[in-house]
Amino acid sequence: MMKRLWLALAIVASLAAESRAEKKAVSFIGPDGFTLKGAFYTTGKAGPGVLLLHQCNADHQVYDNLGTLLSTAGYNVLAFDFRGLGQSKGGDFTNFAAQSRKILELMPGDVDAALKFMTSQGIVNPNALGIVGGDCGANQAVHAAERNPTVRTLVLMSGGTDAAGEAFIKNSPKIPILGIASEEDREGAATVKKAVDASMNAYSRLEMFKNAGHAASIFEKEPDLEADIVIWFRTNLAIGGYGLPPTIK
Amino acid sequence: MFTKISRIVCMIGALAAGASMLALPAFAEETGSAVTFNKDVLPILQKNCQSCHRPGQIGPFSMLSYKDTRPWAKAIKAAVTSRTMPPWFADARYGHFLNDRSLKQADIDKIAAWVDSGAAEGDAKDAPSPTQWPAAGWQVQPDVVVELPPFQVPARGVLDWMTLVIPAPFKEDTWITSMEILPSEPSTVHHACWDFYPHKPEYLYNTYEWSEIPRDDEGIAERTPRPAPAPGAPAAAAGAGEGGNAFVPANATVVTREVGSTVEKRRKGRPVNPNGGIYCYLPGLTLEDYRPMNAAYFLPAGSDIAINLHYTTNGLAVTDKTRIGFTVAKTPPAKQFFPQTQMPNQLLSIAQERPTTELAIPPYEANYLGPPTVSTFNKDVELVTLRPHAHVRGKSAKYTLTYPDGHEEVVLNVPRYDFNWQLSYATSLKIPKGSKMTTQFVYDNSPGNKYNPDPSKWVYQGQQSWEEMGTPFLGFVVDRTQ
Repeated sequence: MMKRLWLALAIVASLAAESRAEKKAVSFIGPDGFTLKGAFYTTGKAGPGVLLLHQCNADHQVYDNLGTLLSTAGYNVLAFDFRGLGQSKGGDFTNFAAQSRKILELMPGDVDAALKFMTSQGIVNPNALGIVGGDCGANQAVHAAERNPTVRTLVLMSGGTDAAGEAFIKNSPKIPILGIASEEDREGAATVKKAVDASMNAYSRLEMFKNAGHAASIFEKEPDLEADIVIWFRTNLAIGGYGLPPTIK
Repeated sequence: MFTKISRIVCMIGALAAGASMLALPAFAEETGSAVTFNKDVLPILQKNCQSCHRPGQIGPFSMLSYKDTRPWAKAIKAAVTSRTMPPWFADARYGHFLNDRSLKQADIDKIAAWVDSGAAEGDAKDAPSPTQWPAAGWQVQPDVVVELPPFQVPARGVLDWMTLVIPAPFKEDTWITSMEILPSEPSTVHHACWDFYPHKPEYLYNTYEWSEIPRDDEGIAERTPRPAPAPGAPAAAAGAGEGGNAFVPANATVVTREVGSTVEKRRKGRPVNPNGGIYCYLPGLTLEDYRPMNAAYFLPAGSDIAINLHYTTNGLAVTDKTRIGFTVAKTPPAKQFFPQTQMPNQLLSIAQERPTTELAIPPYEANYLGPPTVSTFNKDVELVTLRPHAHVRGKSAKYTLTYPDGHEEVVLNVPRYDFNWQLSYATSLKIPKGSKMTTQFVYDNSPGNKYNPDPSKWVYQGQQSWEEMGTPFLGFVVDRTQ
């Protein structure tokens, strides 16, 4: 009886501690004034930032558990909805499928606005950033890293990048890339593999599943994958900076 | 088609999986029952993992309960089968260590079998009682706690080492059995190391004091003379001939700033406060514990604590609040602990065949041999701690003891030094008079070193993470009556 009581107390204590990982609804403004909405996951401690870019047939909710796990592990995490999807539907953008061309044109500016919003939160180390991108979000992640030199690592799920993105990856040996896909998702698997193959970083690797689905839906079939992604960040985006030479930006 | 790296990873994974498949029936056969979290895994986690994997500690997730642990089952298996976790870097072929935290193979097999069989929770009545961890983040519940004043770490810039002197919190002679230091913002702390000194009236209490080291635009300390290395020149030629203090040039400006003030005062000369620097917070190391050695550090009444603070900026301004906890003995223990630098002179002398100021690591060099450090023992001693210290280019460290009859013994080999896990290796090794300990560090300034901020640069000895060191840090005990 006593043993069970202690166990219960331990679980309660643990849950109380876990509850410090806070999720709050956030919104920020894109370059043209459009309001983008999402969630910010944090334990309130200073640390690196991770941006989660969802696939183009979903919204930021697909990363809810990953965001919580990452924040528990010491990262401050932003997931937001692309225009015309989830909570970022409104104004001129209410239907992603019908407006995808225009939305994709605006997406780089929205991603940069998200990074700017995230690093302005006061607890995100702007020198230590990572991005997870699924499907169409993968190409956005690669090009965001190209525009923002403090993005240190990328996780690409079921999506690759264009020729310019591949060239950037090839010329960025310091950026380790984790590629994730499922074999039967032929296009997703091929494009993510191509992106990982382009990487000259010795730690880049590919995690290929079977019959697991596409992008964030893989989490349902592979329940250990979210933890693997957190371990990837802990290995490749250190919580501690321990100082960088002033010339290393 | 996988990448080459992926293939290697898969091969390793396949080997690990194969080993696990072999382990599963063997373990199940041995126990005659299903492997469960409560019965088989939780006791291993309590003993080996929860000290770090609990809320508020360095581990990225908690292992206090099944609910906390289950999402990480596969990652835990991968970490233990690869022996990445628990972090332990001593080459198993050499030495015997009292604080060896590497898992026994049987425990690794149990965890692998648990994961491979579906990571079941099992019956709650099989669970051991929860470990009662000390509150407030301590590994060891302290008897006495010292809180340092809050320190504002700026977002940018290079901070030199600073010392802060405060009175030790003991009114009487005290035997300290353990010391633990907990920064609140460890991501900005390169080290926080302290030492004890008899009080002197000239010491500046509650004042940060540091020597301002001139640096170039790349953050490299300007020391004189330091000839520019010619392309292809032998490494030892670069930086040779330096004298005086290894880190602080004779012309450095001494700066003081009172706690809570932003006003800095500058003067030429030498610092007033002592340097500190023996007992440390280092990444991966927070605790000095002499209790397993039945030993303690003797602190005379009225001593001061001098703390050497090395904060590193990382782009985000934070306020660090560091605490130091002490446990004390009610009665004097059998043995007295001495750090290397405080060993009575008649017991130990330390000389270097080449000064570490000669350390000059060429660009892209993956296996640079640092100047070895040689410690000569003038009397029989008992070595109890070895703590290799280098920075982010540190690759390996080896301690070799040469006995008076000439035969050699490797007492510690760290083939994969990791700045993020600067462990102290506790042992009990009787060293006869006339022996010598040689410590050899190897450095990796190549792009293959993932922590290398810039392989194109020459790297010299210095205080900052992007400069280098190679310090053996030895600790000894002697019988208290000796």
